[in-house]
Amino acid sequence: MADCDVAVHDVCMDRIPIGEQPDEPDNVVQLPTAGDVTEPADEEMSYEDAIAADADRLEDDASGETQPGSHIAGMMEQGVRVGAGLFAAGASALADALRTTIAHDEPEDDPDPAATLAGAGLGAAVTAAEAAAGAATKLADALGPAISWLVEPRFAKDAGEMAGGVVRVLDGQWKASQAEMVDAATSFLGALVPEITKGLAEQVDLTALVREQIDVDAIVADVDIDRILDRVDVDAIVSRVDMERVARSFPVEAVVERVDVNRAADRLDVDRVVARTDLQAVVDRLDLAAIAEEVIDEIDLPQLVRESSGIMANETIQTVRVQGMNADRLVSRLVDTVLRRQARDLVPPADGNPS
Amino acid sequence: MSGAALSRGSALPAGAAERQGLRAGVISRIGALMIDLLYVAALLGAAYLALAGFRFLRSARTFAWPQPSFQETFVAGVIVAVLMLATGWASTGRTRGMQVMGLRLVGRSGTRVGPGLAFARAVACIAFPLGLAWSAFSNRNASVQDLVFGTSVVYDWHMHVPPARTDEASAPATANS
Repeated sequence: MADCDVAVHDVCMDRIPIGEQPDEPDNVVQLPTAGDVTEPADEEMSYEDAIAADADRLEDDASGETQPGSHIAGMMEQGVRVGAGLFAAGASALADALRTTIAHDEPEDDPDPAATLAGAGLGAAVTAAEAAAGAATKLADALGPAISWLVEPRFAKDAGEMAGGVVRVLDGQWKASQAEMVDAATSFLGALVPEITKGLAEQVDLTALVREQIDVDAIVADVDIDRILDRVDVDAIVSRVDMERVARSFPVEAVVERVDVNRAADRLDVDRVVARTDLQAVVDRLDLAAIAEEVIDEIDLPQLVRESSGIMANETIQTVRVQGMNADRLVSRLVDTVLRRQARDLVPPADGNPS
Repeated sequence: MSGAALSRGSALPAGAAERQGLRAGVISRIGALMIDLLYVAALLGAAYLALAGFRFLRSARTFAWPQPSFQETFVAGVIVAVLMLATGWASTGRTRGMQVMGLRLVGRSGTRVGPGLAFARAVACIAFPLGLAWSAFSNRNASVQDLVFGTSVVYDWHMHVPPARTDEASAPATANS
């Protein structure tokens, strides 16, 4: 852009492909000079000729006629075009910034989207400037007699030269300091935006704002949970989980203490569980011989058999003894009844007291 | 019948606990006598087989089953019975049959009888077994031998052995008839 030598309002956009660039810029608005001002012919003409002459004059205003209103219109058009140029410069900077965010391996032949956008903005600005110039011309024609001193040839020439110089100087200053100013503005915004955002976040309760202004339920209702779940690879997630560490940190005791096992057991349909259990498969997997041997070793089966036999024998003996006692009593009563005897002395003699 | 099995019967059935230590009736004593006779018969049979085995080992070619006479068998039975009764009464106060029926022979003061008294009473019991029938009519459930030797047969299901007295040997001399 440094080697770009164009007119005041011609923003050099060497990166913006806005069609073929002519050797001589055709969109340069030449400020009118004193020499360009020509007085219209003051001849006698008919009414029809006068109407045609006015029409021709109106058509020639856009090409730099030296009418008093045309000078003001040119100045306004020039101002608009300068503004558009500034806008285009900003758009160029924006295009540069956008381009940096795009991959650099794009082919050079492809049109640059950012440049295209900037060019479109520039074209829109020029079109707006031309429309504004037409409107300004009409306004100047209406106000021409009142401000004719402003467009005296001498004054207009001086003003045009001064304005042209000022514009060129400003444009040169802009071009010279454009990169520096853009960098400064970028740095300034880079530092300012986070602070502004942070300040806003501190002042505004975003949580409450979201709760009040956003219908979260409606948003959630629109979410296709099944589609999200279909995209989630649960196996991959589980494979990344350290189950050993999770199991160690899991408060099993606390959970067990809070569980009402009796209540859960009451709700358990044991019959249904047993009915669904393949007991035969369970039995087939058991080593019954080893289990039986281990059980016998643990319970000391011979001792158990001896105790059982002893208990059975003891019960048999007690039965025989009780039956003998009852028979003794029966015989004694029978004999005592026959002998008309009251009762027998069954207490044996104590130590030293023989009966 | 093992003594360990009897010792585990700590809880006596109803009607038995309050009769412990009282004089036993004639039925229980006859039952004990019958068991003792079976035991004697078993001992005689074992002795017979032992004699036959001894003969077989001594001369297998000329082996023949022993043919003891009735007198020999009777004498052997009397000897075995007397020894069995005397040994049981003098040691624990009871024979095998009395152990099964829960009976015990005690002396005058309720103590264990001595060996002499036990042997004499055993001879008397074998010589006159009908003396036991008198216990059915006696006011103290005493047999003739009890009256002669001053002894008593009581219910005693426990396994303890009563202490012996040194004057038991003189009991027959002082026993009333």
